[in-house]
Amino acid sequence: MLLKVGSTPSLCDIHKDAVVCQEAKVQGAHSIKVGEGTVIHPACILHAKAGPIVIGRFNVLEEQVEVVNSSDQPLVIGDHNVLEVGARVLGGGGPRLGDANLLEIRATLDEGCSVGSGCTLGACTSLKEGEALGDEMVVIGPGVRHGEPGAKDAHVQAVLKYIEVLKETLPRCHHLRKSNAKS
Amino acid sequence: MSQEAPDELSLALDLEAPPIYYNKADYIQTASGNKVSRNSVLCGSQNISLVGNSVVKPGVVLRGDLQLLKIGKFVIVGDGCVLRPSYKKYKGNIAFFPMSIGDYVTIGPKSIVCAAQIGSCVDIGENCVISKRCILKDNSMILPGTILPPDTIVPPLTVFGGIPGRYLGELPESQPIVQKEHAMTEYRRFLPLAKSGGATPKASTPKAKAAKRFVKVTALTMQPRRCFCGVLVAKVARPPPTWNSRQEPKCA
Repeated sequence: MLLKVGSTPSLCDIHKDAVVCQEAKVQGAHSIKVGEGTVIHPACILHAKAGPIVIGRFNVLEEQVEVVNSSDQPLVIGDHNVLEVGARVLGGGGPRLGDANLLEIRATLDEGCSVGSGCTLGACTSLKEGEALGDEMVVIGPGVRHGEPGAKDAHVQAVLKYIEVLKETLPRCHHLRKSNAKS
Repeated sequence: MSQEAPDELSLALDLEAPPIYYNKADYIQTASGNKVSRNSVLCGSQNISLVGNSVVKPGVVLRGDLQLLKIGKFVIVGDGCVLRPSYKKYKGNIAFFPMSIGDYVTIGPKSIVCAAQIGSCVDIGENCVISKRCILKDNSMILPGTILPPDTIVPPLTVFGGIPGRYLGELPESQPIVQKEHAMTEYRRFLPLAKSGGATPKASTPKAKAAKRFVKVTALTMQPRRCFCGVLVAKVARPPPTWNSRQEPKCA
């Protein structure tokens, strides 16, 4: 299948076990790599503006999620993350999201922020510039946060179940995007 | 000046909101009076049922692919909203709940609704987040910018607002009538532009052609449902009995 979205055809490397809906907007001049088992819902925006985007294994990116890389370093998202409706990862490159994180509805990760592993960002919360969040933390509001030991394993279990269901339901109603990178 | 004067007067009296015009080429109008923007994303349109007289504005995402999405009549869905059925872990499996929205519901722009059930005559403000499995009962109101936590149940005739969404107060019993009127005027003031000059040259572009095909598909998928809802629509089409018409038989 030929990939034609926007003005520039992006170099898309999608793992054969990933589910990427055709309606998802994949744009930009740089490469976008999607790992095994990752589910990308329709109306999700991946924009490799100035550098590549690397998405790990078993992630869920729901609709209106925005991942934009505006620096030349690759933007890396780990494994087992869930980005709910309207969540945004903006700005520069580097490893931005660790493993097994949950970004709830409209959570925003600004430029230079990074999140460890097993974290939860509550609905409509945001990390302001340059902030780095440790492991297994929960952010509820501005400055309100607490630790939650053992969250990582729980998140991994939940994500795998969720992906299992989505992998069955999504291909029924959507055309899926295939990789066009020669590897 | 002479033209402006009556406008100001009607504004001052708050008689009727000014009409909002849209380009006819940008919307699909179904036989049951639904106005669905071409810039909206309808996933799994066989699972989405709009009873009639609803407006779906641009940028809206309706997720029928996950579960059934039932939407009543006179439902206004504002720009950039997301309506998606919620799920719950049940006996080790994940099950999606069908989402049902009643009649005369208005949803403000940029709201995200993952509720399990929304009753009739509900007013949801703009920029709201209705989290998973929330239940909004009839005649309730959600203030703009509210974030309702998961599994919240909003009782009838109450106002919820804030972050997180809490009970703020009660509404008078006239609320259903007020909200019904509000939803109906919102629908009525949403009018097509008389002239749609830009429509014909656009039709030749492949994008417009694809959109046309899309209309056909949706029209086909909506066909049986329209018949199914025919009774309901017929009921709506009849104007409600006015005070005068009700009085007339008695006099005669």
